[in-house]
Amino acid sequence: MVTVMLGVTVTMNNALYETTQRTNTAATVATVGEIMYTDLNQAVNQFSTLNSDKMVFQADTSMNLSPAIWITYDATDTYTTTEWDPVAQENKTVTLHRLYRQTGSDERVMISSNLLSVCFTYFDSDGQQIYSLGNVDAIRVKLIAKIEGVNNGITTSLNDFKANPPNLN
Amino acid sequence: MGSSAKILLVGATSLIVGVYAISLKSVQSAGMDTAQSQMNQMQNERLLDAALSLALDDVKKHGLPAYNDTTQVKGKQALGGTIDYSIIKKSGITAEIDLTIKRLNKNGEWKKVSLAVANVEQQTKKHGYRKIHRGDWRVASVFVKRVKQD
Repeated sequence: MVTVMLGVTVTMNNALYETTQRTNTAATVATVGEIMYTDLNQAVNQFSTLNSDKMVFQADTSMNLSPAIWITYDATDTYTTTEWDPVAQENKTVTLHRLYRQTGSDERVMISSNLLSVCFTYFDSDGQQIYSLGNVDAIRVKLIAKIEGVNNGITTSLNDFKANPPNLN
Repeated sequence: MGSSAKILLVGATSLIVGVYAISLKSVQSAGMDTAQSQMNQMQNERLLDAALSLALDDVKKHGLPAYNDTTQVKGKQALGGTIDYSIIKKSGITAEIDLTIKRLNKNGEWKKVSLAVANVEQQTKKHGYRKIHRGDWRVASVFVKRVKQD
């Protein structure tokens, strides 16, 4: 009876831990997405950097038609960790990204780490993907975060959205 | 094992399972809120476009108010939201539209979700995903402040 009780406790504890980790990561990724989405909807000018891991654009965040400020999202900073791969039964090195946000000349702030992938994709008004500076009309943002401590492996949480800032073009 | 010990064990097990079940439900409910917030984001965007279309339609149909005067419209319904707007004349061919968009929150109360200032002008059309125009009037720029819904 005691064994059964302990078993139930451990199982429930694992379930709660895993669900909490998944939810926390999903909430973090969603919050980062929300911040980015809000910034993108304030974009008033064309972009100055169109990289898949870095974007720089002008935005008016004060809603009073004041001069726009530059906003930078930069995920070029990476670091590595070692993870146990339960399928291959071996340790593997994982590269993760830190995502920074900077407004104007303020100090840049890290808004997320533990990101397996950050990908910005840019589109023109015809819906065609563009690769060089020009008229950006929409931006697709794809964030994949690693969920810590679940199944001793790499489990991911995804946020993928397309922002169509009304002032671009 | 005596019967009182068995009762105690069953009670303790039930208590542990109950506490974990409540905790799991609470965490899952937080997960649902995250999903809901992403859906709200899209719905607010659609509401903003609907509000801009309605206000611009008003300008096209009724023209601009006189100088130093404001056209105020309250309680327009679209896509499950309520839209209030005021139109302020800037020149013969430009105007500012202040928008307030409300939606029902989960407690059934109307709450502001977006405040926006749009500049409209009589010009040729702009092209793109979200360019709004009515006749020869178009939205030139729009600045949105998102208001968190409870």
